[in-house]
Amino acid sequence: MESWDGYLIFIAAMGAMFFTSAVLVLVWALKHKQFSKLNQGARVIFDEEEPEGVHTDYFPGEAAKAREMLAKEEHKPLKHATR
Amino acid sequence: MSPLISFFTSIDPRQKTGVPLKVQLSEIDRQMRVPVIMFLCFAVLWLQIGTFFAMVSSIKLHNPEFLGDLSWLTFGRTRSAHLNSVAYGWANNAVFGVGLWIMARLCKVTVRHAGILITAGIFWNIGVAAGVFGILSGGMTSIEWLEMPMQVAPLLALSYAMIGVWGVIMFRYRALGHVYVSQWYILGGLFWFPWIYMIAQVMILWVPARGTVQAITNWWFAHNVLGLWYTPMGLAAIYYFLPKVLGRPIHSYYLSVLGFWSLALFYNWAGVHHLIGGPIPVWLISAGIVASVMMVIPAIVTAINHHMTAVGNARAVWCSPTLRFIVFGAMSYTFASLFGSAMALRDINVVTHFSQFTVGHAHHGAYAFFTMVMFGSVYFMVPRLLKREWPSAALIKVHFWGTAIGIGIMLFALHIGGWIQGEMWNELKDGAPVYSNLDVSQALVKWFLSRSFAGILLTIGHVAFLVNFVWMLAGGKSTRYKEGPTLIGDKEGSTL
Amino acid sequence: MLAFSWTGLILSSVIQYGSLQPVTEFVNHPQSEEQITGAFIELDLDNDGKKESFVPGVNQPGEQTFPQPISGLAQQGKEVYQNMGCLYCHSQQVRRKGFGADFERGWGDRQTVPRDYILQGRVLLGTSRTGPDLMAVGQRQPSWEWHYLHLYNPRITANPTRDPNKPDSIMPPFRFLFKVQKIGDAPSPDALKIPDNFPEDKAPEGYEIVPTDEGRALVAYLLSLKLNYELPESRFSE
Ligand code: HEC
Repeated sequence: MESWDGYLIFIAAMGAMFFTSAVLVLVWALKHKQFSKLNQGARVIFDEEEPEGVHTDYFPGEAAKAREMLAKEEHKPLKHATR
Repeated sequence: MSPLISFFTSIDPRQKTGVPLKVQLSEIDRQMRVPVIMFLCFAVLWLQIGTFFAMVSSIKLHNPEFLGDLSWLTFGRTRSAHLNSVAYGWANNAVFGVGLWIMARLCKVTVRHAGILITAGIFWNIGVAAGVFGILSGGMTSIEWLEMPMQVAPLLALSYAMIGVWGVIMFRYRALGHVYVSQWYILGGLFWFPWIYMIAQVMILWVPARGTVQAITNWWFAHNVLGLWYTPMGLAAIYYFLPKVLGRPIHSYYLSVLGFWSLALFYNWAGVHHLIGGPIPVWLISAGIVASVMMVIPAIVTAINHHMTAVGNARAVWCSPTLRFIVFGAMSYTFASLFGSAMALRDINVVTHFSQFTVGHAHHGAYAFFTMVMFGSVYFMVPRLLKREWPSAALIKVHFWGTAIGIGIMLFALHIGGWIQGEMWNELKDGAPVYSNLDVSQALVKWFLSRSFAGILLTIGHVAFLVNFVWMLAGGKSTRYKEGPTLIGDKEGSTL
Repeated sequence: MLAFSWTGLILSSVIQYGSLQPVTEFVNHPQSEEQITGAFIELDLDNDGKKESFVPGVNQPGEQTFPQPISGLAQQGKEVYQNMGCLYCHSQQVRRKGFGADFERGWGDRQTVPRDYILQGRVLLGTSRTGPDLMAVGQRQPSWEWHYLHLYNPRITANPTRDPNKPDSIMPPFRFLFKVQKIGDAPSPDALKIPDNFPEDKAPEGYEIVPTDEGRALVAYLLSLKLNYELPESRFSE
């Protein structure tokens, strides 16, 4: 409890290490253009099995009903737009 | 090639040459099936255990004689057993399952040596079980969020390392160039958690720091484990499932990235607000307050983003079990964050600090946000992993309403009751306290009763979840889904 | 960023605390490096008829210093306090006057400061006050007997007449820190005197209820919790 020196060096080293790693990650992200073309990036979650524009989750046994209801609803803004 | 080197090359999960590079999501799901389902099983099991201890603790607060003569089940131990079961049992297993699964899907790779992952997962759960047993049998440390006897920490740390590393490996060998925001959150969390856990263990238990440095470390940890482990994992899931189920990309991807970096920047300073007015240097507290208030930024940014994504799709949200839970969780995230910032202000903190308000806030974040998001994620994942539809829509609805109403009542009771409690402790008339110790504790009873009532609703929800989950594992009545989503596309059946 | 915050929050407080030592209530030579302004005292310590001025901070050899370490029995009791989880309803910290009502409630005559905790192996500040703060409970409730009865069944001390209109305690009972034993030649001195209003808590005829070693240690710990000394940075008058 009396000597704090070993402790200080240990934690200072750990602190420095983690700080450096955080900075490196940020640098990496910038270099690899992770911050550009963000809108395309947002689409990486879709593929042909679960494509954009398709709902992918319903209550079991209620999918048909839900689709029907949703289809009705989605027509509304469309009509709006064409008017 | 030495065996070691060949092992290191063998963890590379990219497709070997000659195999087509294009990986289908269903293929990834198939390969991740065993470890992910295992983690979810453990998670669901711990959820039930945690709920049991929660109910016992809750009843004890208004009926102190309830199970009062069993030292193993005294209040201090059951509430800690509850916390550790739900935090390290339910929440961590859920994170391992959900986080690694999302990581695999976004990286388009899977875990090569699933055996190591599975073994580590089993050891993790042995560690948690030993820890909870230790708490009940008299080895509790009385350090908040770190109650398990220190002897289990090395086991947990080692198991974690062998689990978390797979997330990092998948990231390292990811197939896609772009790093999606969920990957940032998961990767961040995977690094942050072991770091804060180890430092806190060492500085409080193994080589105890001096005096109230322990308390500062304690709250630096306890706050960050929520903010830099559960929160990023919860947000990663929201950012994945919300656009995924709706079939439209997140409203502003830019804002989501901003949200990530501001969380990483501010959150970790905020923990000291648990010590406002306490025996620690004043400037530290001030820094904590500033950081807590800054947390408004990621909260608002995230709120706008989620709202703009979901707006106009209310019915689609309502028709999807996943999104019912996830949107509930996303809204709770915003409110919990804003409440948290407010609670760091001195004038509010002086009332709320030592009261049940804080307990309410913890459940706001850990349950209404994180746990609800995890429920939603499980509803999306399991049908894809097992290629089977959930057996019962009704049970999902019971689960949703039980938990949504239950947590609503509970938050109301604890926030209001806690506020009253704090005011009663502080109330002075002519320099003398107005209410005695007993007045304050008596006034709490009706709020504690409401909390137990809420607990019953939550328990009903959890049991419905358990039944549906086990039924699903056991085969369910609709062994193969019959009508499209939950699972997409009618070709699904053929990939089985 | 996390590393940064951690360095900021913890490292700096470690450095700041590393130099904290127990102190006597006044003392410190003017030439000493640790000078705390505003509080110095004139005393004739070496009896040469001349008063020296002292500022608080560094100790003179052989003097009683504060905070004081707790006794072995109390230390064992602290372990009971930890593994029973008293911390989840009781804090051990007094906020400054004017910030809450800690002072007016008699939870301590002054604010607690970091130095109060430097000798504690494990710091149990606590963040919940379902029950009252216990930083100075040894001064407020100095009676062993009271603590035994209270731990055995808090309803006994809270509402001895069992008046349904009076508020009652919601603290859990800790009966497992006591044991029932046959009365020997003479009743044990620390046998509990359960009031007649609580017949169900009484031992059967010819038996008595006495604290176990754990129970005794726990009460020793509770009685050791005192805030009866001043520190240079936190005085009773403030
Ligand atoms: C469920 C919360 C709870 C737990 C756990 C708890 N207490 Fe209490 N405690 C209270 C409440 C409420 C009061 C005020 C009513 C009373 O005096 O019984 C209190 C009062 C006290 C008092 C009297 C303080 C005073 O100023 O009069 C002491 C001493 C005490 N508790 C010690 C303990 C110890 C020791 C433990 C652990 C073995 C413990 N408590 C566990 C809730 C709790």
